[in-house]
Amino acid sequence: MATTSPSPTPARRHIPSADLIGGVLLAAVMAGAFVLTRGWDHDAAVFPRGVSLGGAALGVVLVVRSLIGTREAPAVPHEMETPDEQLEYVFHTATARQWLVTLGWFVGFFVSLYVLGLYPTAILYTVAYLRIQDNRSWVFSGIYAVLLTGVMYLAFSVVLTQQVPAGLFGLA
Amino acid sequence: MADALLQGLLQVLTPQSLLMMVVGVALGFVVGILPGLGGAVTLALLLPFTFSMDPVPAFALLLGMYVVAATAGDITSVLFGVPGEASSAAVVLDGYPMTRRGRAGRALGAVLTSSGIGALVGAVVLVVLIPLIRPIILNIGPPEFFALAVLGLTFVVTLSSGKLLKGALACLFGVLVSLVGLDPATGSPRFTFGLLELWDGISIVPVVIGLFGGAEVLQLMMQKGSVASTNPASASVSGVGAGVRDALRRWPLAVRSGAIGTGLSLVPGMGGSVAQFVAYGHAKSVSKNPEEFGKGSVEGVVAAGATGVAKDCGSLIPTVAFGIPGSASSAVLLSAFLILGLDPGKEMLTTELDVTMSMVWIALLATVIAIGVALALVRPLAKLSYVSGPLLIPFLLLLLSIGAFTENNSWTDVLVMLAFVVVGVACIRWDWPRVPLLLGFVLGEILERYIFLSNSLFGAAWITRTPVLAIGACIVAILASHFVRERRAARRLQMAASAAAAGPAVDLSTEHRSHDREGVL
Repeated sequence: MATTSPSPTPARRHIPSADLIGGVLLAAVMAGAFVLTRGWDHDAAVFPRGVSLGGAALGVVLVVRSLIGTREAPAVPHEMETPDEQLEYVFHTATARQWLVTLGWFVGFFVSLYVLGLYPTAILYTVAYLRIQDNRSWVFSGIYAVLLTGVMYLAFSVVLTQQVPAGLFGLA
Repeated sequence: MADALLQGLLQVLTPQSLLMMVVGVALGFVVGILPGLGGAVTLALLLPFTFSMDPVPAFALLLGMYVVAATAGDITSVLFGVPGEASSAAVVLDGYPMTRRGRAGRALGAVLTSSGIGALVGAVVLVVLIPLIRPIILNIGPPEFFALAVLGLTFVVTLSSGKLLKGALACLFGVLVSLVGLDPATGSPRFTFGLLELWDGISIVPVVIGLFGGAEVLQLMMQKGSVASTNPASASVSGVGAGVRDALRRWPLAVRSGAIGTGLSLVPGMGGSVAQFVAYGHAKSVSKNPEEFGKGSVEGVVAAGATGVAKDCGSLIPTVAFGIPGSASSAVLLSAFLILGLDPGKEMLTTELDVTMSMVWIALLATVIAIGVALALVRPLAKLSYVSGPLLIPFLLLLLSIGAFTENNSWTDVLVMLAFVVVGVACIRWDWPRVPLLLGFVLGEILERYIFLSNSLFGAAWITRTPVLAIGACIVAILASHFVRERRAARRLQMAASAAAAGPAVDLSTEHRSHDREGVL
C-alpha cells in the first residue's frame, strides 16, 4: 500500500498532444481511404466507405476533444508505486542515443537478413551483437552463434523443412 | 453415445495411435513454441504422412500436434512476450509482466493448468453438442454471425478503460487494414496501391508478431537486462505449484473462459484470436482486482490460457458436423477427413461416431501429455527469463523474422511485421490500445462477409430478426454498463484527489494504478 502526503498540483487544462496528433493522423488516413473508395465498384466500396467515414468522424471527435482539453485530476507522483509495480516500458524514458543504437541494430538485422539470408545473418549478427553490445569474448560469441544457427537449421530446415529467407545470394 | 465414447477411447489406446500421438505432441511443442509456424502450415506438411494410415492414428498425429501447439504457444508468450501462436496473444498481456517480475514459473503453472481445464470444457462441450448441433447451427444465419462479431468488438473496445474513443478508432483502423487485398465479392483490388503482393491481403501472423512481440524485443534491446527485472537470487523460479493452485482455485473462471473459447469457435472465422480476448475481457470485468490486469494478473493468465485448446474443440464441431471449417487449420483437417475417406456431416455423427469421439479423446489425452511434459520442464524454461537480454536478442530477432516470413514465404509479411512493430511501439509510447486494433483486423473480413450475405439474403429486414435484436440489446447493455462503470471510477478518482488535497496521507495507489494501466488493452 503506498501512501503520500499531499502537495497537490492544482487542476489544470491539459491538451494531450499525443491524442491530438494520433487523431489528426488517423482522421487523415481514414479520409484518404474514403477518397480511394470513390473509384471502386459499389459492392466493393460500400463497407470500406462506411468504415472509413466512421473512422474519420471518430478521429475528428478525438481531435476536437483534445483541443478542448480535459480537466486532469491532481497529478500523482510516480514514486507512489512500489518497485514491484514498476513495469514501465523504456520507450517512455529512452534517450535519443538509446533509440538510435537500438534501431540501428534492429534495422541492421533485417537488412543483413535481406542481403545475406538467414543462416549467415544468424552467425554474423550474433557474433557482432554479443561482442559489441554485451562485451562477450570472441570465443563465447562464436560458439554461441554456431550453436544458435545449428539449432535454427535443425528446427527449420531439417525437422520442419520450412523455407527460410535465402538472401540476395541464395546463401540459406 | 456412451458406446461410441468407449469405442473411441479403445481406438485411441492402441499402440499405433499412442505412438502417433506422442509424435504429434512433440511436433506440436516445436510448432507452438516457435512464433509464426501456425498449426495450419504444419498440418498441411503432415498430411502426406497420413495417406496410408487408419483414421484414428492419423488424427492422433494431426490433432495431437494441433491442440498441443496452442498450449505450447503460451510458453513463448509468457517467457518472451512473443506470441508463439496468434491465439496466444492475450497470454502476453499478463503472463509476460509476471515473468518480468520474476514469476515466470507461477505464470507457466497457471497457464498450463488453465489450458487443461479449458481442454476438458471443450471436450465436454464437443461431446454434448455433437448430437444437438445441427438444429442450433442451422438457426444461426449470417445476420446473427454479423451481430455476434459486432458484440465481440463492442466487448473488447469497452475494455479500453478510459479510452473508449481511442479504442473504437484503433478498432476501425484494424478493420480498414483487414480490407487490404482483393474484394471477395467483385475481385477488385482494394488498398493495394498497385502492389501485387498485397492482393492476397495481410496475414494475421505478422500483425500479431509485430504488434506484440516486436515491441517486447525492442524493449529488451533497450534495457539490456534479462526479461525478469527481479534479482534471480531472490526471485522464485519454482512457483509452479502456486501457479497450478492459482488456476485450480479459479476453476470457475477457467471453465467460463473455456466455454467462451469453445462457443465463439463455433462461428467460422471467430476462433482463438477473438475468443482469447473476449475471455480476458470477461475475466477483467468480473474481477475484484481489475486494476491488476496488464500488470501480471493471474486471473488474466488463467482466462486467456483456458481458451487455447477449448477453441480447437469448438472449431471441430462445425467441421465434423457440416464440413464447414471454422479456421484455416480446420480446413486442413477437413481435407484430412476426405483423404482418409470420411465424409463430414451426417456420417460423422452416426456410423462414424466412434471416430468423432476418438477425436475428443485425442484432444484430451494430447493436452494432458503436453501439460505433463511442460510442467516437468517449467523450471528450466522459467530460468530462461533470467538469461542475459543481449544473449536472447539474436534468437528472438530470428524468431520474429522467421515467424513472419514462413506464413507465406514472403518478404512482404516481414515488412508488414516491421510496420506493426512501429504501430505497437507507438501504441505503447503514446498510450493507445493495441487489442481493439488486432480484433478489428481479425473481425473486419468477417463483418464485411456477413453484412454482405445478410443484405443479399434478407435485404434490410435482417436487422429485425429476433436473435439479432437480442444481441443488439446485449451490445446496448454492455455500452451502458461501461459508461456507468467509467462514471463511478471517475467519481472515485475525483473524491480521492479531493481527499488528498484536503487531508493528510491517503492511499491513492489503487486509483493511480487503475489510471495508469489504461494501456493494457
